[in-house]
Amino acid sequence: MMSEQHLLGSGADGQFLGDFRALAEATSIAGAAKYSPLVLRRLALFLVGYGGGRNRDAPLFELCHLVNIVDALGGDLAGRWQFFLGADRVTGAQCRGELAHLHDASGWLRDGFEWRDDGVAIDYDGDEFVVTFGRMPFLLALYEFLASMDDFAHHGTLNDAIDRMLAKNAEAAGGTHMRAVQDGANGLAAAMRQYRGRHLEQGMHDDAFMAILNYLRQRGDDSRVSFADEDILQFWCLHNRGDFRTYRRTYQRFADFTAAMAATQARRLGETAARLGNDWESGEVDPDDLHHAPAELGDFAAWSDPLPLLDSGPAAEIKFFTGAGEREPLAPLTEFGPFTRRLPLAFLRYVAFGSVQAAITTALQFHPGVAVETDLLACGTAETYTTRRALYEKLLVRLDRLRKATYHALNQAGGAGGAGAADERADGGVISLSAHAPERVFEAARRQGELASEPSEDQLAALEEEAAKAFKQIARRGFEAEDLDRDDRREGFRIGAGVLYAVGKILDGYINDLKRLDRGGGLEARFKQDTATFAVEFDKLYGVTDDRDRNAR
Amino acid sequence: MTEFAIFALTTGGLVQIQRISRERAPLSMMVLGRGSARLPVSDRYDDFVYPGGGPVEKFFGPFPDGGFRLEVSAPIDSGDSWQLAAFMAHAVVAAGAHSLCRDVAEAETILCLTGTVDFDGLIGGVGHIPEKLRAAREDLTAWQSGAASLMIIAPSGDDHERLLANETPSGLTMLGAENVGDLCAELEIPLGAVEVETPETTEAPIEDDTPGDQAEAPKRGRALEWSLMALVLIAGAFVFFSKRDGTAPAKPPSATVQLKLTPAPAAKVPAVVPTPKPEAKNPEAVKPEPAKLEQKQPPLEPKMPRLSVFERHAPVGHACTEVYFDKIEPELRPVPLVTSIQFKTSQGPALCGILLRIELGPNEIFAAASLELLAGRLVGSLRAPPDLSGRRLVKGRHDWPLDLPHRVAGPVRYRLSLTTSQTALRKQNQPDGGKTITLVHEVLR
Amino acid sequence: MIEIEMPDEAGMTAARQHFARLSETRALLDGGADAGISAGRLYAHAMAAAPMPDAALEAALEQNLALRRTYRDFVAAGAIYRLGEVIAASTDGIPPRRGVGCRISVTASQAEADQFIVILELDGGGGAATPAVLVLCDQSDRCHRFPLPSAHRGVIQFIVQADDPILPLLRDPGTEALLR
Repeated sequence: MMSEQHLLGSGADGQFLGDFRALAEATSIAGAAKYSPLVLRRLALFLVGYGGGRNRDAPLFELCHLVNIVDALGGDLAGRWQFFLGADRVTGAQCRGELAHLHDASGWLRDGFEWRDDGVAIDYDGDEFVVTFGRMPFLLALYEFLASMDDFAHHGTLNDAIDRMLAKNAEAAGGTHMRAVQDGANGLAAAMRQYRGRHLEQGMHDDAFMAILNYLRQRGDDSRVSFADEDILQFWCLHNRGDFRTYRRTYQRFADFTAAMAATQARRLGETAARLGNDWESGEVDPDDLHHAPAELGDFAAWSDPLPLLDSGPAAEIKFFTGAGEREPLAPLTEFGPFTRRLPLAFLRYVAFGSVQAAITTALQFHPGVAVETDLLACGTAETYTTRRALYEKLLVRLDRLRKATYHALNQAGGAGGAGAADERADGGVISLSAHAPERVFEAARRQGELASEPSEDQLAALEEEAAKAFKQIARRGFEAEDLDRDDRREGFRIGAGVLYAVGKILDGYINDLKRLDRGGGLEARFKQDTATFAVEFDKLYGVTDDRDRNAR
Repeated sequence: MTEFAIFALTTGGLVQIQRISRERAPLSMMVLGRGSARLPVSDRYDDFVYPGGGPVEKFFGPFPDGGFRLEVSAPIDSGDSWQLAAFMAHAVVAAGAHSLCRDVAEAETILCLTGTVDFDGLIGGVGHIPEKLRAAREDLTAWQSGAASLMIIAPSGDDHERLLANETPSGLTMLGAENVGDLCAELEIPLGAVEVETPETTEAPIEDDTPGDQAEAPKRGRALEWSLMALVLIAGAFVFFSKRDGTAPAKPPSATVQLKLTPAPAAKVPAVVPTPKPEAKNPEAVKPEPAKLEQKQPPLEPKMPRLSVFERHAPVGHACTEVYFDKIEPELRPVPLVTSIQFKTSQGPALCGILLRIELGPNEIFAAASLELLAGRLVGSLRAPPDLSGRRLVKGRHDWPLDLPHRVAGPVRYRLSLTTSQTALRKQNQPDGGKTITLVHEVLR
Repeated sequence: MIEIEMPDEAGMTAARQHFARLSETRALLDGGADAGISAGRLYAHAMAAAPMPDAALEAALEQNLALRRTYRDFVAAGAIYRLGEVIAASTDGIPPRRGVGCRISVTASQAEADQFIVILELDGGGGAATPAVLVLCDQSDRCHRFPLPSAHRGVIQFIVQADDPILPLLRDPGTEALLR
């Protein structure tokens, strides 16, 4: 009998998924998402047992510190709930504002706490622990999940554990008590383990893992396997009756498989398995770290989609990309990053024929019993590969203009005396800004090959003029000259500069990959060939036959 | 005993005060009908009746513990112009001699009031008179033909002038009042019915199934302030006859008895809400006389009939042609008297005509009006309205509009005469006991 | 082309677990299940003076005791006054309740037999804010909200019909009254 998890295609059961969706779909009064995609991704990683770096329960430890901070600022039970649950839209700046409000009202009621520019430091008998403002949105999301999970069954237990921890801290001579915080975190970790045990089927994805592994082993030897674009398509054609029903899901699973193997390999080699992942957990993602070349397998493990960085903090106030026209086509490219560079054709199939399959399944979902349109089954609506290439080339031009405009914004801000300051963190340290002076952005551009060598003064002046022109031409939110002196705006452009660079790097590289594929009209021929292949498979899956009820599929 | 229907004139229309009763709750409430919707204006009403806060407790208290429930026929959203109506409703209930009725058809007297009442009983202006009259026009027109005496009462001064300036249905009595003492005296509603401090008379002045032994409240005389000379000199153009005619309007009987208002089912309302004996030993200390009342003795001269002239101007942005063809209502501006027989000369670029207003009061008399052109010409019937032929009994207000000729220069001068009598008039001859007034008015183009 | 060096058995286990976590993360982020009620949503509803209608939340409250208890906790924590104590039992009337700085009582209308007047008297001490909502939580932790008119002279007063749901709740000595 098929379990609920199998039906949902996830090890998480309906309760787990519903508990997470409760937060993922939470909106502010204005209708915006309560938590940024970045925060939700971090939360998801933690919940499945992956997000804690070396110690997967470390976020619970951090959460207890934050609870301790709120309590030391006079936040009683009502105040704690107001801080952790009362925010309309959770950002680092909002968390800092709430704490500042408490601080102004009562100051520190216990010793051992210190307000800092980037967060709050707690001194536990000489051991210091800092909770940054940038980290707080994730911790608030974690608290809310713990309070809500299992239909609030653990809410009372959560409060009791916190109250015990706070009572011990209040009794401590120095105002803080590390052991109490650890005990509190351990209590929460135990509850979280029980929750995972109840709602997360551990072996759920083993079959998928083994299916891919066995398929690849047939093509390699015991010590090494390899696969190319065609292997994913062939695998899908062979396995599209079950867990790998859609090409997109197959592609995603191959990407995850690669990332998992890469992480294991990196660990074996003694490397940090997920450099950015660890940085995330400390809340310090440096966009400049995204400037790595997509060549080594380790990059699969380290890759992190840069686009969500634009969704929170001061960068969210600047409209770097339009939604459907720019962000939407770029999103899958940046999501898979180096994987798309290695398997460019597989990605084209993901975009073009994945969309067709999604349209087919949507049609069946909303119109059960109605035959799927022939044109859909025949992939007549699929976006051609050359169209996609042209789209990305157009986006690269726009991206170049955005980068120049961002350069101008930072250059202007630098002129106002604010650029490059190592310790300025307008949004509470969401992003480390240590080296994002305009020169650094420029240097990044140079490294990318736009400039072959060190620029002359004339070249620099010409670039600045061009950048100013680009800035003026962009009439989007946040690109207002009069606001460039604002700290938060400056901060937003610094974050954006790193993201634009990372996106540009992937986009530029991918376009080059497509150029190579297109030699001699290769893309056109590939598209025709793939259309025929997918049409056959779609017909098998969704076409009307005499002896099968298509609605049962 | 008179059945009063009391209405507050509001910009949203007439709002009837249907019932006042006591509740064992600390705040007084204004409630929509018999329902449970406590209106937001209740807080201000509570201030109006609360000891030390408003005039109701001062004039009619002290009251036992608890508050009032005042039921109104429609919501009152804002402002304080309901105060005069609420006060008069309290006065009617407190006096015991009269009663409030919920059904207008049962009313002998319909009072439509607007104005504030301060702690000392002085009535304050509220404005928006034209809008309030406009909103009430339909009801007033309907009641005008009924048997009940219909009165509109506004604060003396600007509000009263605006009241008079409006073209309301004829047959209405429009009064201006300066203080509640005079107003109650004019309407023969005893003010402070529970003044005598005896156990029998300290019962709460609320609706009651059993007649009480309440003593008759002392009369304060009929000292209604008509703002006689002030109106004439300041803004008026009102001409009063020297003596009021002897026919009394339909007045309530003077005997004061505890009467039942709109009765609630016996099972619902206790027969009597016990009223604690007032602690104050000096009745004057409990219910001080409004200062104004003491200055108003003896009763005033009669004020009706009266004659007034209004200029009819085209509103800003409109032409007289729109007024002539009834496309727009003209603005009415009263013309003051400059001598005892002459109105001030009228002129103005937007002056379209004049309105002659004859007000005869609530009592029927014979009246004859006539107009004699001395220079220029006027457009419209130069013959008086049929009711003012002197051959039939008439009462209330009568308007006589006349237009100035279009594009004709030169002054218009006319003489207006009004003769009244208790007997029929023939050819405007003044009979014995009759009165005639003649006034001259000139209009320059 | 992607080449992968095969790990040993332990490495393969780690890779399989890693793969599972990535897949789970993707499953969580991609949706595929109906959203439950979040604590923030419940808190916002509990704390709002006039919450927006939320049928899903109200249905969940009806069905889920833990949810109701949490809701009650939220309301209680944010309450300006708590009136748990019934001053005197009464066979037919509604007993008054008293809390620190406040008292709530009900009196029958003298004018209309099918109406009652709810009276909340506040001492206003300590600069306490004026409550906007009366929340009555019954013994099964169902909390019922009654918006309040503004206070006047330290009193909040309103009229209810005899069949108003507030009356049986106030009559029940096991009901907790919270003002917020």
